[in-house]
Amino acid sequence: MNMKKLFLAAAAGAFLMTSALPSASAARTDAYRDMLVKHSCTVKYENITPAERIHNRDKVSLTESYGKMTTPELYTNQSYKGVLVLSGDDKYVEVRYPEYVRCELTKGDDVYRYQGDIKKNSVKYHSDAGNGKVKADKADQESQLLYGENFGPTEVSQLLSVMLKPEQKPAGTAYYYYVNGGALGNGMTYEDYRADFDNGLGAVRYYFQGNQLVKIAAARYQHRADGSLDGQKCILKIDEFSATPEESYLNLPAGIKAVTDKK
Amino acid sequence: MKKKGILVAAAALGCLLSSTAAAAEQPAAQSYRTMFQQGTFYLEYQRDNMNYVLQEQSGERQAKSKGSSKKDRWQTDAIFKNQAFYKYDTDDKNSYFFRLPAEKMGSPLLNTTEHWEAVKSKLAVPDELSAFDWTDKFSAHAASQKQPTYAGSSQRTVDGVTYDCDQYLSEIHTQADTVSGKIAYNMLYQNGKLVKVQEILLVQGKEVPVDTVNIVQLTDQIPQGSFDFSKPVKVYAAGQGDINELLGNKVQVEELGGTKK
Repeated sequence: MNMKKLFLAAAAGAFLMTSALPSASAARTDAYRDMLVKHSCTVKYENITPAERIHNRDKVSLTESYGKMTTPELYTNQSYKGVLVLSGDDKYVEVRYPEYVRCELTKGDDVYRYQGDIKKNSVKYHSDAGNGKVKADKADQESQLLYGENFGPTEVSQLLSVMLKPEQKPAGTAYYYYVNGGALGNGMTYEDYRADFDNGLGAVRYYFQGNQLVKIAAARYQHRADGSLDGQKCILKIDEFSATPEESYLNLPAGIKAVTDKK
Repeated sequence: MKKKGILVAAAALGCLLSSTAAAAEQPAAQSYRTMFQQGTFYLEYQRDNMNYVLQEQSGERQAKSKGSSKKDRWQTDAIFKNQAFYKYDTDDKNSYFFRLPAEKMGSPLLNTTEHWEAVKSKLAVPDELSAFDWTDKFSAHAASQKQPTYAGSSQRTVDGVTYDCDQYLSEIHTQADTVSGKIAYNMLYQNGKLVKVQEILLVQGKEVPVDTVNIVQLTDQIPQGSFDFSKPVKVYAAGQGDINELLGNKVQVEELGGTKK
């Protein structure tokens, strides 16, 4: 709770202390928005703020766990590296931990979801279809129109979507608007976006070195119906965000093959 | 898959273009709406090689499912009654339910691996029928999706069979209140009864098939014994982070079926 309060205070303070530049400074995020909208980019980042633990309590169950979970429990508190490649109707999303990688490759109407176990320099791929095999699911365009485009894990999708214009986001999703931009020293500048919720607010800051996006930091809090506070923060270090899709990511890697049901 | 897509697209286009002189809903549409409104209905349908039943009577709603092989039996997946949710579970030897009082749904104390939120979606009227029951208490529509409205009638051929088609269109809105796409629900009737529903996404001039369900039955005549359990089934309290959950102790709160009512 203290960490959250500190972070919120810092975020609020940052808003107040900024030196205002003319609104043309939103132009830096414009270039990145274009890449997302045109579906032509490669983004490599590190989530250096680990996700909140998905379980609601810190107890350890003394009995066997309930079965398969979509995220291995071991990794919910670790930071991870991510990749997003957009190229027309194709998309690649990856989340990589030191010993494990989770991948989703979209080729038009087909989506391949598979994982890899990393040992030294080799990766052993597998999926629900078995070792070295993966079966395509149908791409869910409907969900993306209804709920927002999927750019990776939820928090990453949200942070990248904040840049999009209102006509590019579904009604009912958080309405972020450009607030201000300014200089931070060391050649760094920033652009701030904000969303007002019924019982709270969200704030996202894009950090630039020159015109290069280098970091995205976000804080969000809301008061629940019972008055308790629900807060989240997220910091992404952007290692690369370019307009050229890296085509090598847009095919299944060696070590895994697409299989189909025999009918 | 692609060939089917083209056929469906062509058929959908045909449905849109060839509307007959009488642009009115099938008479049965209103009776279906009434069934859902009054809370007495038996819906049996098939989707993706699975069979489902959603039924409601006297304030109790049940969701059942069954595989498509001859050996498969109906299994009750979820129940809502007496202001509580019931979720099916099994430990390979026994089948039982967990019960959660309705006001606790969404509580941060619930075990997230139990996915209680999925129980509501199992009990919801399927999206393909949202034109008849948009405000179903268990449905959760995206805020961007608008209620489907009747868009016309026509004849439509699917897999060589010709149906009477009522089409409903639902708009998807952006934050700027522009329309990013539409969802078309083609309600296909034979002899005045709904037998099939196609859900198709219309976006950027393309038609993307989403889903097709076969309606086996949609009636307000509940089959005899459909809500009963042939053998008694134990019901345990849902885990809410207390010592019993930590130790893996199941606390029985009720028994469904058998002679007890």
